[in-house]
Amino acid sequence: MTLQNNTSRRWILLAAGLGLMAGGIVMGLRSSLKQKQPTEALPPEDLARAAANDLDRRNYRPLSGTLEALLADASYKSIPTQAHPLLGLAAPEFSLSQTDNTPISLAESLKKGPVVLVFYYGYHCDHCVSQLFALNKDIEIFRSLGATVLAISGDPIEETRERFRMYGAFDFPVLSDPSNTVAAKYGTYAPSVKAGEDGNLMHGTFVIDKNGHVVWANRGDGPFTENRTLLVEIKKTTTTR
Amino acid sequence: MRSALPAFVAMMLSATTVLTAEPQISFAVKNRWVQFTLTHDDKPVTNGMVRVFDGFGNTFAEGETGTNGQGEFPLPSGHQFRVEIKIGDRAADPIPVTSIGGNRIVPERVLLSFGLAPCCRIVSRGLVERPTTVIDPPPEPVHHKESSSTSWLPAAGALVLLVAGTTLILMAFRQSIPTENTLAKEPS
Repeated sequence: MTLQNNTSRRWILLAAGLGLMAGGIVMGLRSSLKQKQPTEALPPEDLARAAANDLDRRNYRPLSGTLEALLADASYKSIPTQAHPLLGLAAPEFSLSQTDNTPISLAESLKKGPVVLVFYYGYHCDHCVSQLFALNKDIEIFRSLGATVLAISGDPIEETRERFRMYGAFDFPVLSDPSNTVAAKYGTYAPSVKAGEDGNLMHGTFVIDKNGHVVWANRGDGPFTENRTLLVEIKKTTTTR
Repeated sequence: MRSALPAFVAMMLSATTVLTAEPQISFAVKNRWVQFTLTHDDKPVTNGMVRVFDGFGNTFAEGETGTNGQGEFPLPSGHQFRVEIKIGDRAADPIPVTSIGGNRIVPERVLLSFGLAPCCRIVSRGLVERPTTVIDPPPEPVHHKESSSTSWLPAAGALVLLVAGTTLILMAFRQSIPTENTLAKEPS
């Protein structure tokens, strides 16, 4: 009887001990994983690198080859425009300040040729700004078509300037629309219907022909990184209108 | 089971492609008639309801796409008209169409969108909050940091459990020594 009691007691202690140890290991692992998550989700230390990673995830590759070759490739399927209330209509005029505080207007930009207008979330998360990095890589090809690229977000000038100091400036104007007034005109921002609440926004890309008409539009929850499609649409505006 | 896994992954990937690719409509003008083709993944959409509204917002034409996903309607007079498409229960965002010189319209191709609306709330400058319905969400900035005073509690709990477990195991082994003594005594 004593033998049975002692043996069973020993087994109970062993089982309880092992159970507690296993529980401790599981709890420890879960705790370490939980502590890792906020670190990963925090705004990345190096936004430029994070934006580059975001472009990789979206399979973005900088354009290669001559402009003529890119446009002549009949096998390329460009992405059609989405439906947008501004399609075919005059693009809403704006004049916004860039990082050196000088204003840039759409009308002035259109005097040089077609405009690619990009609404981005702001320079504070990877996908929010990654489209600007993609455009920057291909900017010379856009210029060779006579197109101007303009980027707009609600970031205050000072914030954009600080990001430029940290990561380098883009080779196209980055404009500040702190009240999202211009974004609202292009349907990429909707003010909240409830007082005191912030509004909603979208990524938006527009091709505006040299006559000031919106000829191509794309909006959504992700950045539009298919620069080749933009080139095709710009080329159309210079040949058909 | 192993051989089924790649097939399952491929199936899931193709399902994702279907989810992300929306139908398209293309327009062409011939003899002042607008011919259109509705496709999804390069296949004709046969059950598309198409309504055309003139520049005043009046219904100008309506009908259903044929087996080839095609249809046609006379070019409405005026500079602009609107095309609305419904596929099954899904109503696409209205397409504003501009007529140029009576022999061409823009846009010539449209990627349909369904209830496209601004997606993200600006919580505050520098932070973007995404709704739960978004497909394929990219990493977002976190909105709050876990307080450092509570983050060590699970780790401490784990340590306590480990120590307690080790103690019990040691006790179990200690129990075995007197057990042997007891066994030795019993025969006498």
